[in-house]
Amino acid sequence: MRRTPLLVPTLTFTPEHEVFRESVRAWIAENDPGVEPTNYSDRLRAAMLWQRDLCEAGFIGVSWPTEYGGQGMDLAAEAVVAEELARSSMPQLINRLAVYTWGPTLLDFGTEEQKQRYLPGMLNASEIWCQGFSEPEAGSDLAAIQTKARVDGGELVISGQKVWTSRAEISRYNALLVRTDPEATPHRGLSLLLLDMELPGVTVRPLPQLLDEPHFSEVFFDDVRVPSSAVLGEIHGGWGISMAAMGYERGLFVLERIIRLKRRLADLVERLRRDGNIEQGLSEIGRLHSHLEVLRAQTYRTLAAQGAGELKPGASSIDKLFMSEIYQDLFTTGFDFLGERSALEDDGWAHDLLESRSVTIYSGTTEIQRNIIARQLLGLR
Amino acid sequence: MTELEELAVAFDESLANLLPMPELLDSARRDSELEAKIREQIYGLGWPTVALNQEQGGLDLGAVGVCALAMVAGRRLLPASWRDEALLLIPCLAMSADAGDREAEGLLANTIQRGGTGGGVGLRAGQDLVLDSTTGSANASFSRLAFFVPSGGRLVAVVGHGRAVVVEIAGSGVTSESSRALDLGQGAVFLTAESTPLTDTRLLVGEEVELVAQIWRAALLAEAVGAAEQALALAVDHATTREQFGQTLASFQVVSHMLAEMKKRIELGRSAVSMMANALETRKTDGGLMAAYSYAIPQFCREVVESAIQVHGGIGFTWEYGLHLYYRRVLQIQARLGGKNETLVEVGRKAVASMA
Repeated sequence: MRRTPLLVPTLTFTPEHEVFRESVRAWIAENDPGVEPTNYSDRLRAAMLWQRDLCEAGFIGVSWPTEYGGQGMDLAAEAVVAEELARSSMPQLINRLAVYTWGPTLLDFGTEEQKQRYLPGMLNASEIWCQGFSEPEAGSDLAAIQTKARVDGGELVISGQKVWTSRAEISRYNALLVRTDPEATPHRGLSLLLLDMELPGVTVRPLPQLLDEPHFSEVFFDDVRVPSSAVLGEIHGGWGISMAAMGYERGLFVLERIIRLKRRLADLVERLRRDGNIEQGLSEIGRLHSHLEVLRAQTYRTLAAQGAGELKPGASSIDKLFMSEIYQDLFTTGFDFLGERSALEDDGWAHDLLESRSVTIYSGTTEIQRNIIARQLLGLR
Repeated sequence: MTELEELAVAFDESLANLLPMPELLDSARRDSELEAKIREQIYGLGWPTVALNQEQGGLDLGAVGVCALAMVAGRRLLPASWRDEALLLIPCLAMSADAGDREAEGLLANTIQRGGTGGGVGLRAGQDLVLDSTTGSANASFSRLAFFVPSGGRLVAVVGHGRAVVVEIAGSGVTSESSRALDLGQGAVFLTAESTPLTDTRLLVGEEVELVAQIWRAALLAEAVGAAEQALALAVDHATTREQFGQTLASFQVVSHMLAEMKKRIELGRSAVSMMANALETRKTDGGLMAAYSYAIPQFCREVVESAIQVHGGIGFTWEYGLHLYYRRVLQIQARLGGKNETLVEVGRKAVASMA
């Protein structure tokens, strides 16, 4: 068994970071748009405006280079923004998939032209991004995707279907994984395309999830023609790019989740206190708080490794796995304490309990994360 | 490799040689400590100076270094009394010596060389150290505190809540009660002190004293992670070599997922210990973080060793294979930090207070 070093670096904040934190906090206090609308489409609209405002204030993509609209700061500064944002009324960036995952991936693999074209719209949320990975016959087994892109002169012609594509109905671009070489072994024949969702032949069919919100969709491609300049990185190099993107999908994402969950825990504490039930809840609160603190340490470790370019393949599966468990633990615990009120009143807890069932499924199920840890971190075959 | 990593690797190799499983099992079966000559060899490696700074003649490793070596100590099951002596009693003796205590100076030199002087405990919430000075000199009282003390040991350090005392085990007003503890062979003893007199230099106060207790507590967490990590390594070895139904155990997904869950807990523990060690290094600590980790890390480590026993099947339940020693160690640490229920309520209380 390979041995990890005894102790590992974790993210640290300098006095300059703390000054920056104060400025972010003050700006958010001044500009916080207030409680999120409950209606789904109103909520989306409000979230887009919120990200646009945050971008204008210079708080989105702070670790990106200045020539692409960033502030040229480090990942700790990015963590400061994520942590402070999580305290606001709208803690989730509507275009977080672009800002946290595909923007950094574009910075690593994109051409200069692609960076100039796509990065600004990611930051100000004028162009929302989705990610086309899963298919009806390829969920956990991602390398089994069948959506094809046939090379035809200077163009690629896409045909096939994706499913569970989050925010597809509002997305302008899709980071789309397709099979470009049907003869190659499953992992080798894939390419990553930056697809304009407004092209002819793209059809989005919302698929209401169990909350009856059109959060994800089926997306159909009927001979959609794109120029070869839509390929990110090398043609047939899509698997490696996708895995690099997955590496970015943890760190800041999870950090934002931690603070949001802490706020929900504080809400639960407040309700228990009001009901005079706090003593009975101490152990449960203790467990949830303790786990959130451990997850914070883990996320600070992941961010430190990301910042140093030393994140090991598979390592952040631990973050995803544990975050999912705490997420569900919090909302089921909340339901158990709040009981009938939670079931009969529309106070957000019932919504979040239902929504929490998705966390152990999306972005690689819990079972897939355990496979990754077994294979990549323990070397099991 | 950094200097610390080199030191840790060398320490690990030495301990692996000096603490072979048959010797550890023999000590456990006899419920008496390992031979003094093993202790002297380990102390010769510099172990007793891990928690001392340069002026005190130590290795100046700081919290990060202490925790890294404590993790190694956990992997190799370094006896608990040698841990407590090095991390609590020795730093206290060094502070007494600094305060002009000539006897402490001699004891310190002797302990660094050979060990066997005594043990110590870090107080947790709810454990009291009562001091009174009505008679002009200070007296210390505490009730039934658990220690691990080498045979012939004569002193214990009681550290916590911003102060420390060094008490003679045979001193007036001190009663002791030996115990056959779950973690066998460690010299477990309960001590109660009723107004035992202290000289001025054996009563220590201030930030440095509190730091000693905090580093000890962080080192216990690191040690638990080390012990659990070793249990996982044994489980992985077993699962990748043992075959049933014509294939290795690890090739069954149910087993590989158990191992993945164990690995998750170990790495979460490593992240938390690292975070705590870094915080102690820069003196940026708060009681909330320590309370949160004092519940989660021992509990995770305990679950890892429990799973390791399960993955091993019958062999994991035998005396001679020795997995139980890791289980005993992790349980000892969990109990010493307050146990699952007490730490849960404590962290719950702190969390609620911070949200008020």
